[in-house]
Amino acid sequence: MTGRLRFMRSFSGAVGVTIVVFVVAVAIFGRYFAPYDPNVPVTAPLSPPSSHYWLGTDFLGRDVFSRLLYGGRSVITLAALATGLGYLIGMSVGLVAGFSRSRIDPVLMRSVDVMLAFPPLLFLLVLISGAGTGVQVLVIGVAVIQAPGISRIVRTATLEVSVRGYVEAAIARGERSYAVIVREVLPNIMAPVLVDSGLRFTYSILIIASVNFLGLGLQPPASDWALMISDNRQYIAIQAWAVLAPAAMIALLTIGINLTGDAIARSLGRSYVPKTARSAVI
Amino acid sequence: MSDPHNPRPETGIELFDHRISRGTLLRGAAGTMLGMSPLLAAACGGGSSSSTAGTGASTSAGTPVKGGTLRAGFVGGGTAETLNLYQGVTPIDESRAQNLFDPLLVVNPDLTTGPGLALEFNANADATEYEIKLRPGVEFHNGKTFGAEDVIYSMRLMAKSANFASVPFVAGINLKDLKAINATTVKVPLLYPDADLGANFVYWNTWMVQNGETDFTKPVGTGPFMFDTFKAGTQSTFKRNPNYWQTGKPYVDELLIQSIDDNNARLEALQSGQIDAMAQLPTADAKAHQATGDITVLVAKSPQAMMFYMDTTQAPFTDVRVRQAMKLIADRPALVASAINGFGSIGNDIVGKGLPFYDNSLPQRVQDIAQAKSLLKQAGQENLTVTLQTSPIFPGFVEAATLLAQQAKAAGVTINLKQVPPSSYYNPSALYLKMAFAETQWPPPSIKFFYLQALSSKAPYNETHWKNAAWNDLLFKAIGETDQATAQQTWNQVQEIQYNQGGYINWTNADWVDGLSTKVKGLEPHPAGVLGNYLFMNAWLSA
Amino acid sequence: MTTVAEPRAADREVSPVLAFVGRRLLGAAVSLLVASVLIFIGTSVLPGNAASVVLGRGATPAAVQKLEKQMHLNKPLTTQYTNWLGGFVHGDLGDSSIGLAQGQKHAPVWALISDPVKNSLILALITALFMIPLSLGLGAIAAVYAGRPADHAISIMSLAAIALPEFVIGSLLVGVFFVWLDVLPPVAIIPPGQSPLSDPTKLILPVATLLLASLAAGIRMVRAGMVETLQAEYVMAARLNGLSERWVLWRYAMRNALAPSVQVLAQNLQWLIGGIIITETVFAYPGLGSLLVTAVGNRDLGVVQSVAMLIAVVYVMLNLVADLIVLLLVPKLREPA
Repeated sequence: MTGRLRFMRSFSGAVGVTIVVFVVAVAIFGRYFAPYDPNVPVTAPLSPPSSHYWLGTDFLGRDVFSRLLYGGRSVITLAALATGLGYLIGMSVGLVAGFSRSRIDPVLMRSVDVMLAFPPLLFLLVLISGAGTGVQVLVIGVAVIQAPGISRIVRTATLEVSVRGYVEAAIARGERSYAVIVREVLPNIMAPVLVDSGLRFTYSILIIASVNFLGLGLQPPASDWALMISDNRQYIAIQAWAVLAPAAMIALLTIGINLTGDAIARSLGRSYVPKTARSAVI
Repeated sequence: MSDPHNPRPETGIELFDHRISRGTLLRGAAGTMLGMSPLLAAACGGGSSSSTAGTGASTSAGTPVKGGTLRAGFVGGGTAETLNLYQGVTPIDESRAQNLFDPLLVVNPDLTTGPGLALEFNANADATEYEIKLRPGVEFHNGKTFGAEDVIYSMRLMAKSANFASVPFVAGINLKDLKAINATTVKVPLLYPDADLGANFVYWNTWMVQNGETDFTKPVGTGPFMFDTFKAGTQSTFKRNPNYWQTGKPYVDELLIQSIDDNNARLEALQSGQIDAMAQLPTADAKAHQATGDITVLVAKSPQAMMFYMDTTQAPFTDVRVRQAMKLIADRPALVASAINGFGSIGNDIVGKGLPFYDNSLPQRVQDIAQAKSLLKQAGQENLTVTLQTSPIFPGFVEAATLLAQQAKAAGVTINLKQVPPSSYYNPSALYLKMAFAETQWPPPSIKFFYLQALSSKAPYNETHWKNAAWNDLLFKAIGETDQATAQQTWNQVQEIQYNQGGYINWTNADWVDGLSTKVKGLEPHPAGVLGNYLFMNAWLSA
Repeated sequence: MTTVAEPRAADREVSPVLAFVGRRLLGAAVSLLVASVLIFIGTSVLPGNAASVVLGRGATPAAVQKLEKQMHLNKPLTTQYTNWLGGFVHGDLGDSSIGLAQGQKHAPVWALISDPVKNSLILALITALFMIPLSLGLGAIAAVYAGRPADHAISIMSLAAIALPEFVIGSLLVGVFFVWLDVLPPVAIIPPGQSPLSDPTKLILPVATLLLASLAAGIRMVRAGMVETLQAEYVMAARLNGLSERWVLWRYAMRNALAPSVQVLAQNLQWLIGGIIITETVFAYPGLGSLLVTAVGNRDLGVVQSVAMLIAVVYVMLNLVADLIVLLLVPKLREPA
C-alpha cells in the first residue's frame, strides 16, 4: 500500500497533486463562490479589472472572474471524457496488437497508420461540418484523434512487457490470454501509459480550444475555459485577462497533471528519473 | 458633425465562411425618385460622422497627392471569390466590382442618387416604361465607347439564372423588348408599374459590363481602376485608369485588395503598415482605437438592419400575439450597447431607417415585459420555450442572441441557443428558410427592394414566410404610385402592418466600422458601404 | 536492451532489412488506398456542396441540381472515386469544385495550391530545423541534470508552453514583440509568387509559435529515453571503465534514446504539416492550412480531397522513414519477432 502513495513523498509529486486538487476544486466548487451570474452582462464589455470585477469583463460584458469559477467543469469533463474514450479504444487495440504479435498486429497497426495519416484538425473540421456542432460529436471526434497515438504507445509497451519472464511464465502455465493481459501485462504498462496520459489530456483540451477558435465548437453561452479563450482571444490587446485567466487555469492543470504523472511513474518502479542521491528528496 | 456613439458596424463574415449566403445583400443605398430623402442627412449632412481623435476633418484635409499604391484588407472568401459581379455577395468581391465598373446611377453620401453612366431615368405617365439617357464619351478600359448596346447586354446578362445575385434587380423588366433608340438612349419597358426604377441600378450587382463579356477572367469595365491580377483567396491588383470619365481621378496609381480572414491579423496588418485600410473593424477594437488615435476609425451610419426573425408558419409564432410579445421582450438599447458596442442606432422593427418612404411616425418600440407576459398568457404560451439558431456569420449575431436569451428570462421565456456553422445558415439547401427563429441582416438600397425580396408573395428570401394577398396588393400599389404624397401614405400602411404583425424584430441599424491608416485621406464615411462605399478613386496617400 | 548488436556477415544482415522495407512499403500502399477511400467517402457525405455554396441564397434544390449536373456531380460515387484516384496517381490533382461551380471549364487544384504548399513547406522545414536540435539538446540537458533545478526549469517551461493553445501563444508573442517592443512584424502576409524567404523577419513569430507549441513533447521523450539509458548497466560499465562522460553520453545514451525520440519527432513533423492551420490563420500566412480551412467551409471537395490525400502520402512516408531510422539505431529489432 505504501508503495502506491510513495509518489506523494517526492516534492514534485506533492506539488503536482496540490495543483491538480486546487484546479479541480475550483472547477467543482468554484461556482458557489461566484459573485455574479456568469451569463448576465454586468457592465460595459471588455472593462479592465476593478474592485467590483476582479478580472474585468469579457466581450459581452460578463464578469470574467465569475465565468472562471463556473468554467472548469465543462472543459475538464469534456476533455476527460474524450481522453478516456480514446484510451478505451486505444488500449484495446494496442494491447491486442502488442500481445498477439502475430497476424493481427500488422493489420491493426496499418489501420492505425491510416488513422494517423489524417491531420487531426482537418479530420475534426470535416467531421463537425458533417455531423454538426455538439458535445457528443466533439467528444467522439477528439477520442478518435487520440486513439491511434495511444494504441501505438500501448502496443510498444505491451511488446516489451510480453517478452518478460513473468508473462512467459504465465503463458507457460496455461493461463488464458485475456487473464494474462489483465493480470500480468496491464499493471506493468501503466507507467508509460500514465506519463503519456498527462500530455494527452492536455492535447484534448487544446484541440477543443482550437476547434472553438475555428468557430465549430461549443455553444454559447456556455461558461467553459476553452471557449472563453477562443471567444476573447481577438481582444487580447484590449482586455487580456479574459483570455489569460482561463489559459492560466488550463496551464496549471497541465503542469499539475504532468508532475503527478511523472511522480507516479517513478514510484511504480520504471526509472523515468534516475535514483541518484538527490532524487530521494525530490 | 461627429457622433462617437454611432460608428459603423462591421458586416464582416466570419473566418469560416465567406462567400455564402448573403445572396442579395445589398449594400447600396436608396435611389430616390425625384426628390430628396430626408434621412440621415442630420448625422451625415455631407460631412463625416467619423469619430473623435482627429479623424473628422483630417480625412478630407489638403489637396490630393497623386501616386502610390492603396492596399485594402478584407475578409476573404477563399477560392469562392469571384470577379463576376453578377454572382458576388461579399464585401471583398464588392470592392473589386465597384472599382472596375460603374453604375447607371451613383449614390451620394446623403443617400440621394445622382447621375452615373446614366444621366436621366425618365418614366412615362403610369411608370410602365422608362427612357434612360446615357452619358456620352465614356470609354471602356479597352478603348471601346460605352453605349446602349452595353446596357441592354448587361441587363440581359443579369437576368441569367446563374447570376443569382443580380436576377432580382431586373425581375420587373421586360427584357425581350429592351430597345436601343440610339447610341445613348435605351427604352426599358416594365412588367409592372415601378415608380422608381433607378433605385435598382445603384447596387453593385447591377453595374455595367461590356457587350459580349462572358467569363470575367479579364474583366473590362468603365471604372476608375483596370484589372491587373487576381488570385482568389489571396490578393488582386488593379491599375489606375488614365481615361476615367471623372477626370483627375483616381489619385493613386495602383489598388491592391488583400484577403485577410482573421480579424486580429487584419488589424495588425493595418497597425504595422502592411495595409493602408481595413474593412470590417470589430466594434470592440474600434472603440479602443478611437481613444488612442493610432489609426483612423471610419464610422458611418447606415440603414443596415440586423434582425431576429420568426417564421409565421411555424408554431408558436403562428400566433401574432406571441410575435408581438417577442418584440416587446427585446431590450434594444442594451443590445446595441453590448452586442455592437454602441455602433448603431436603435431599430424599430421595420427596415430601412433613413431611406425614402420609411415610416418615421411609428412609435419607437421599447421593452415592456409586463405587456409581453400578458400577451403570452392570452395566447396560452406562458413559460414558452423556443430555440434560436444563430451563427457567427455576422459580428454581433451571436452576441445579440446570447443577450436576447438573457433578456427573455424576465418574461418567463426560455430561449435555447443553437449555434450553426456559417455555411449552412444562408444555404437554402441546408437551413435557410427552414428555421423557426433565427437572425438575419439586410442592408437594403431601398425599402422597395427589401419588401420585394423578403415579404412579397413571390419573394425568394421570405424568411418569415409571410403570405398575405391583401398586403401584397398594397405593396405593389405603393411601388407603382407616382404621386409622392399618396406613395408615402401607402408605404406607411404597408409598414404599419409589418410593424404590428410581421415576424421581424429589427433591433438595430448597424453602422459600418472600418479602419484607415492615418496616411489615407479622401475616404469619407458613406451609408451605402464599407470604407466609404469603396470609393477608392477618392483616396490619396499623404506623405 | 542490454546487448549490443553482434557483428554479422554483411549479406545476412541485408535481407531482414530489405524484407522489412518491402513489407512496410506494401503496408504503406495499402494504408494509402484505405485512406483514399475514407477521405473520399468522408468528404462526400458533407451536407451542402460547392454548387450550393456558389449559389448562396439562391441555392434552391432545383438550382443546385441543375448546377450539379453541369459539374458532373450526378455520376455515381464509385465512378467519381475512380476518376479522382486515377488522376491523382498520375499526378493530376483534379479540379476545384468551386471553380467548376462558378462556370470555369478547368480549375486545376495544383495551380491553386502550388504557392501555399511551397509556403507551408518552407515554414515547416524552418521550424523542423530548429526543433530537432532544440529537442535533442534540451532533452539531453534535462536528462543529464535530472532531478536538479535545470531539469525542473526545462520541464515546467515546456509544459507551460504546450498548455497554451497555439493561438494564445501567437497572440502573446505578438503582444510582446509588436505591440510592446515593436521589433517584429505581427503578420506574415506574403504576396503571391514571392518567396517567404525574401522577408525572413515575417517568419520569426510564426516559427517561434510553432516551436513553443511543439517542443515539450520532444523534450520529454528525449529526456525520458536518455535518463533510462544513462542508468543502464552497460553505461555504468563504460563509466567504470573510465570512458569520459561525454563519450558515454553520445555513444550509448543518445543513441538508444534516439529510437523513441525519432518517433515523437516524426509525429511532430506530421503535426507541423497538417497542424499549422491555426498558426497560419493567426499570422495570415498564405499556406496550406488556411487554404484547407476555407476549402472545407466552401465545400470545395476537389481541393479538400486532393490535399488530404497529399498530406496522407507525406505522413505515411514520414512514418516509413522514421521506422527505418529506428531500425538502424536499434539492431535488435532487425530480428524477426
